[in-house]
Amino acid sequence: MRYFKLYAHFLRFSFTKALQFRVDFTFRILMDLVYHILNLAFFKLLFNHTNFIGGWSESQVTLFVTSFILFDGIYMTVFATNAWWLPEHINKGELDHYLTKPVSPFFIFSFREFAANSFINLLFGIGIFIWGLTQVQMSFNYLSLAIYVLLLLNGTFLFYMMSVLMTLPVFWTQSPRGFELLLHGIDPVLKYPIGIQNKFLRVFFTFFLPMNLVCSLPAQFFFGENAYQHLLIIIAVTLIFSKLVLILWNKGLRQYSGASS
Amino acid sequence: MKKRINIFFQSLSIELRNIFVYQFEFWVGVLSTTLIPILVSYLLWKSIYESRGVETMNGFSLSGMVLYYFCITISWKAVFSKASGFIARDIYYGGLNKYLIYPISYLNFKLGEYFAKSLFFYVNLLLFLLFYYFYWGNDLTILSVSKGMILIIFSTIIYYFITCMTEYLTFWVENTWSLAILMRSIVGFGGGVLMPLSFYPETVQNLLHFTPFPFLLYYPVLILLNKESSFSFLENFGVLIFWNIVFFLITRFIWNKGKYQYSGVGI
Repeated sequence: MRYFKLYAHFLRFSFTKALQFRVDFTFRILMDLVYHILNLAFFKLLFNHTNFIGGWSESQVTLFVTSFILFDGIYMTVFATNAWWLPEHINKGELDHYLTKPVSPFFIFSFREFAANSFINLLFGIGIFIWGLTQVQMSFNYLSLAIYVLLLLNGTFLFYMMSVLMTLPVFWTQSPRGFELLLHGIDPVLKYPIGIQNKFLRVFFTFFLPMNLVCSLPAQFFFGENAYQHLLIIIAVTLIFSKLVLILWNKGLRQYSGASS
Repeated sequence: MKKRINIFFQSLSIELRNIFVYQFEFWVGVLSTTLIPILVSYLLWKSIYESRGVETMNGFSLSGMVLYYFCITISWKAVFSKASGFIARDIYYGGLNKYLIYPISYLNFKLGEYFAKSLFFYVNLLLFLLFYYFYWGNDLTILSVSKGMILIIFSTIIYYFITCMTEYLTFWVENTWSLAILMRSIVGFGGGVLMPLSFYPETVQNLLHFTPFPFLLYYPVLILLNKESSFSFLENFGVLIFWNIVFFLITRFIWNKGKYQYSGVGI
């Protein structure tokens, strides 16, 4: 309950801050809208030349892309700003601020900044996702839809854990951004259907760096492709991966000196 | 003129040293943001070629497509160079003060900084093409590579001006990061980074010719690869010169207006 109250405060501060920067607010909406339109246009153009991509039909890929857009909206709104500031806080010795509070430092660091200027885009993302659902040429029940949405939320959290993992080396190296660029490089793996990957990549991006768990495996669950096997994989990998990141985070905190560079 | 060139090279050399400070992270970043997108594009197109059961599509074989993605991805990195914020930060935090009292041109100084990363990617592109030429490259010629490289260097200058235009808006607004990303997405789409423009509907292709985007990357890369292109080297070069002048004038106009808005206080 204490954490919910705290999060409500974070939300209030974030909205107040965002409304001070109105032009940025408008630019963000425009940027995300163009980004989403281009993502959809890209696959629309590809389907002018083929009927299937990675074994999925156009309507399935459309839902997959709209799911990615929904994931992106949630990530940008809830987590992206916090992930962005982590290396800065470590290098400038500003984590002290979080460590002295009587709450989990990981919680406060992960949820402190709510990007209110991306919130409108999250609403657009929800709208686009609903449109994507109307394009699917298959019947589905509300339970599988509810699980699908939960899996996408889980995927967003997992992606955040991956971005934390990439920035953790900053504790030891004091480099400006750690391996953040590595995650940006791998980013296209998220956007394309899992069916294009070979066996090695599927295993790697499912069990070792679980990018496939963000949108692809949830979509496979929803399309009924080995649904329960995928559900189990998602739950198991999320638990193990998150635990691993938290262990490394705690090790990093022990390494943290508070001195700035 | 000599002084300007000296400043350009000084700033370029400082930035090159900055880039290589954290070598391991730098190489991991470069390799992952270059090789993985190319690998994923290859897998995507492999799946499409296989599902269609064809050898070529719109003039591209699968291996030709991989080569195209390799060249356009590295060229895009050279043209795009620095991430956004390298000018906006100076304006926003008041760091511009020192440049205003130096007897040098800010635009010139930052151009050197901008070109450092581009230089790194030009060298990489040339090394890759050299390697390709010796093993498989029957189609490549020294002339086509030289022409393509000249065009890509000019494209870098144009994109530098585009970046300056968006960054200078910080004189009036608090954050231009989203605008820079927006520009990058549009140029990526219009410049053929997502896929060769020959896969776009003809109307879209024709509309894009009224913008500088296809001339920044798509046609230069086709010329570089010695592939059939709707525009010859000279035509493409002329278009780039035209857009260079246009964007330079706009950049100068915004700077002249914006510098009077600048308080130098920072946040």
